[in-house]
Amino acid sequence: MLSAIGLELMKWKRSKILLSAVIAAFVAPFITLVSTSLKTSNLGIQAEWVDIIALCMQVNHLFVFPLTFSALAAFIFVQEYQTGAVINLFTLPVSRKSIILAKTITLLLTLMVLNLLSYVLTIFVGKVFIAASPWAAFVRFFPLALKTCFMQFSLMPIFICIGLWTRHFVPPLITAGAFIMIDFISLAMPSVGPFLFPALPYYVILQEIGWYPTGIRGIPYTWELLVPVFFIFLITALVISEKQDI
Amino acid sequence: MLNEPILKLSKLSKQYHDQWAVKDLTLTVHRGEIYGFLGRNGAGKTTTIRMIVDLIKPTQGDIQLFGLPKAKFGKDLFRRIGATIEYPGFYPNLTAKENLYYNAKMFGIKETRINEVLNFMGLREAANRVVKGFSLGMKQRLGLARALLHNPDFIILDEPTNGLDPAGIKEIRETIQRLNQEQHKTILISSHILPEVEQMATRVGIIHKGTLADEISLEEIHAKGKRYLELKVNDPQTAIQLLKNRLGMQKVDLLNNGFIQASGQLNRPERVNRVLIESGIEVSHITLHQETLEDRFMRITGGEK
Repeated sequence: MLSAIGLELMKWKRSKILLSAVIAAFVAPFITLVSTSLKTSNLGIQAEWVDIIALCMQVNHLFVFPLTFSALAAFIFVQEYQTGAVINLFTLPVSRKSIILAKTITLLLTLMVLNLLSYVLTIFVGKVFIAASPWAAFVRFFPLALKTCFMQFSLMPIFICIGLWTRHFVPPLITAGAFIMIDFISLAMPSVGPFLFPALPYYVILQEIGWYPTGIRGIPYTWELLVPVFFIFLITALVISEKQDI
Repeated sequence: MLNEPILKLSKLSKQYHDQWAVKDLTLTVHRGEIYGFLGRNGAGKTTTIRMIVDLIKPTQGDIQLFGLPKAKFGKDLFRRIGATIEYPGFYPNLTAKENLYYNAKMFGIKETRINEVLNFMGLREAANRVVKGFSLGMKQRLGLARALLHNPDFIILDEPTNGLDPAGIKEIRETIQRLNQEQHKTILISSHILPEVEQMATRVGIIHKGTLADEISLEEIHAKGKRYLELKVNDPQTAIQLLKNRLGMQKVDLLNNGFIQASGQLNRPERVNRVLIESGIEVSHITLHQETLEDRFMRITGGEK
C-alpha cells in the first residue's frame, strides 16, 4: 500500500493542477492580509489572532477548499479515464480496491499539506499585524484547522463517487459549485445552516471561536453525520470501481 | 509444446441491454502462435479482448488461460499477460521512464528492466522526455514496451498499428515477429490491416457480428484458398452464358464492379480467353486469382472488394 501511495504521489510531478491548488492555498491568507490591513489602517482597529485565523478559515471553508479539494479529488480519480491509462491501471497485479484506497490516502495527504500551507501562511499574515508570539496562536488554532480539514475530507467520497461514475472532471466540479451555493445559502439562514451538511465545517469554526450566534439552534451533528457519509460514499466508490466495465 | 492452449474461450458472450456485442464465441490460441483476431469495426474484437483481461465482465461463457479458469489466477493473471488495448494511455506529465517506473514498481520489477524494454522498442533517446510530446507512433511503441516490461508469456495487442504511418506499421510488425521468433511469446493481435496480419500471423480468427465466423491457419489459406478467374468483358451476360455452357464452369458470378468471377478451367485461362474472343466478346482483363486473407475476410464479413 505504501508503494502504491508513493506512486500516486509521483503522478503529481509537473502537474499544473497541483500548482493551481498550491496557488489556491494562498487565496485566503491574501484576502486576510488585505482585509486586516484595511481594517487596521482605515478603522484603527487592533488586529487579533482570532480574527485573522477565523477570517482565513471561513474563506477557505466557504469556497476555496470545496472547489480546490473537489478538483483534486476529480483529478486523482478521473485522470486515468480521460487519458486512457485506466486500462493499464486495472490490468496491474493489484486489486481495484487497493488502487482506490491508495488514491484516497493520497488525496488526504495532499489536502492536509494544502491545509497546513494555508494555515502557516495565515500565521505569517498575522505576524505582520500582531507582535505576540505566532507560535502560541499556531498551537491554539491548529487542532481546529486539522479538524475542519478532516471534515472537508470526509465529504470527498461524494466527489469520488460522482467522478468514478461519470468518468469526467466536470460533474464533481458542478457538485462542488452546488456545495458552495449551499454554504452561502446557509449564511443567510443561520438557524437551519448547520443542517446543510456541506456548511458544517464553517459552522464548527464559528462555534469553536465563539462566534456562533446564541439563541438559535445549535449544531445538531458533526461526526455523527460526516463519518457515515464518508464510509457510505467510499464503499459506493469501491463498488463502482469493482463492478464497472472499462 | 506447440499445441498447448494458452487461451481458450468457450461460448463467451457479452450482452448490452438487448444487444449481444459478443455471442457464443469459442476460440483457442496455442503456445507459440501469432493469432490474428480480425473483424470489422464493432464486430466485438475489443469487447472480447477486454473480457480476457478482466476489464469487462462476460454475460456468460468461460475463459481459460494457461490451462486454468481465469478466476483461479486472481490479479496474478496480469503477471503472465501483457496487453495494449486500442490507444495506449499514459500520464502525460511524466516521462516515458517514469510511466514505466510506475508499472515496474507495481510488478516488483528491477528498474534496469525499464532501460532494457525502452532500448528494445527504440525509445532510449526519448526515455527522459515527457509523454505529452510523444507522437502516436512513439506512444504505441511505449505501450508495447509497457506490455513487455514484466516479461509476460502471452501478449495481447489490440490494434497496435492504429494511427501509424507505413514505416511505423512495418516497425511494429517486425517487433512482433521478433518477439514471437526470438523470445517465443504467444501473441494475440487484433488489426484492421489484413496484409500486415497475413505477413505475421500463424492462424486467424474472423469475428463477425459477435461470433466466430471463420478460423483458419495462414498455411491453409495459401494451400487451399479458393482460386478463381477474374475477367472484364464488354458483354458480361453473354460471356457468363458461354462460360457456363461452352466451358462447363459452374460457379460464375457477376460482381458489382463489372468483373466476372469464375471457378473452373483454372489451368487453362488461355482457352477461356480464346472461346470468348472467338464468340465476339472483347476481353480487357483476365487474371488467375488465389484468394488472399483479405478476399476471405471480405467474403465472410459480407464486404465487397
